[in-house]
Amino acid sequence: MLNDPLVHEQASEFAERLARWARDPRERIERAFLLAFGRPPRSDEIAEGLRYLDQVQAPFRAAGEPDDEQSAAAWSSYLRVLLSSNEFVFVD
Amino acid sequence: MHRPGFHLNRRQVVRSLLGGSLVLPAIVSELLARDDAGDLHRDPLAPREPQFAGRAKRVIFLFMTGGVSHLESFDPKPELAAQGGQKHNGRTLLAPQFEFTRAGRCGTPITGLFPRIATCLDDICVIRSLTGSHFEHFQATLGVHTGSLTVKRPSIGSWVSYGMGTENQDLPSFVVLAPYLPYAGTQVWSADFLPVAHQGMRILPGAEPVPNLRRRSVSDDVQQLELDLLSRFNLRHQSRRPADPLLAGRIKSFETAFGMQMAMPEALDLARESDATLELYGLERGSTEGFAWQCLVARRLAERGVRFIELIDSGSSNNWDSHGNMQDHVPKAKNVDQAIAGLLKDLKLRGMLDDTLVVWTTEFGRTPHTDGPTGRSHHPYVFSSWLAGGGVRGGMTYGASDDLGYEVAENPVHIHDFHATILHLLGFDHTRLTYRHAGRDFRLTDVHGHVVHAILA
Repeated sequence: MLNDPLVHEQASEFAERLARWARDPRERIERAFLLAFGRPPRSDEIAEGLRYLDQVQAPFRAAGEPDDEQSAAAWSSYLRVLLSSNEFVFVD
Repeated sequence: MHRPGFHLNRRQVVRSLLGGSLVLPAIVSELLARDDAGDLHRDPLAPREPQFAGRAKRVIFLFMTGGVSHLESFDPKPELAAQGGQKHNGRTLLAPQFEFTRAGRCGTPITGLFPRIATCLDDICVIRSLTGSHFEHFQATLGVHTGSLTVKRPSIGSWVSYGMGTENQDLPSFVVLAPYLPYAGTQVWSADFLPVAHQGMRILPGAEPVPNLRRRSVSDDVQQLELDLLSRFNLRHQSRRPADPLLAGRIKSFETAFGMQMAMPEALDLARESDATLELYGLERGSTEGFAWQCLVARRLAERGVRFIELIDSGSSNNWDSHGNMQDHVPKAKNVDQAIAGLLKDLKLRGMLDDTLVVWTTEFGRTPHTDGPTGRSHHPYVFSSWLAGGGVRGGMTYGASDDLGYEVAENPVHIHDFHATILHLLGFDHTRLTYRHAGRDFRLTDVHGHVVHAILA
């Protein structure tokens, strides 16, 4: 599912939507959880998200993503994982 | 409508109904202990020893879709030839449309439809008394694969995967090479109530055999970070939902998919196969389709530890269903003959035929009387299939139909018996390979099945 074109497309549109919503990454993560899972993130989940967005910058840079794209690429990557997760795919 | 708490599985329901009581915990633990889902934390695909030493370690299952005529392939009927054109019970009998010859040292009869398979008969055990219980494609196809004609049940490949696990964790345990969807569609390789990891994985001939396998992330590093984060998300989510087999199955499928990114392209890459091998199968270099491609890939998957490999030759149309004219069997036979013979010879050459069971079957045979002017209709009451390798005695025929090929005359082998025998060759007592589901133990053979000991080597 991480490799599905639809998931990639939706994740990058999701990223654009969040970017329009807020600048603060913490607020974006909260919004993403509410939209995807219908619940706010716990504080450790916010911290994990921020850490991930930071971590994933380097490999994107190494892969030659242009500088202004980096942040969008990192957000798309993070949101792909959200959309591929069991919590998103299964309804409790 | 979303109803919180409504989608509980059986274990959770039992817990919530009874768990609060002081008196009942013993009953609860008894009920839960008897549910096979208790095995969830074990890796479902880890290799497991069978119940006893079986002769076969893996299966290659060749399924001919549409109903191959026993009367034009493996079951010679001179009496039907003599009575062709005459009436029998109000129907017009049709003489066999292809000549039989005896082939191999064993002298097993076979028609000119399969000139190459004819050269392998010393390794083949032809069963001429197979019998099924349904005359429609959908139900009969389901029956051959699951033992059930109506309700959906796990496929034989899923049962074998469940019983034995698999030797290569980077590849699925049950792979289906099918260019077209067969009758009953994906139900044919469904794991149904068995853990999802035992589901057959379909590979399509052509440029992208496994859709979306290639990573779309820009680099391995990015993909690795994404998979790590995903697994943390999923494990946290699962820890609050104990014993949901679908969640565990989906986590497992990501692990297998990651392993497959390397292992599957390698398994499907035929570049290093010699010209002699390609010629044996009748495969043009560079071609990624056709039954020859399916057979060669099957050998490569078998070498790499895949437990059950099913090859389906055609789909729910343009298949062996020759109602109007038996000559329509010719292109179907030509499509598979050399490839199957190539597979048998190649396996033998590599010393793999001894522990690889090759099964050739179809959903039913065809009527001794006409349907269209020179065609035949569906006939489940008696038909032919064959087994080779994996502890089967080659160069023999087993069972017989009556003079006209209508009914079994001796040694009937019902589909359930066929299944019981395949499991036996793998080292399983079919009555003891069970899975507890919905309150009872299920098996591939339901309450039927007898091992056909006479065909064991």
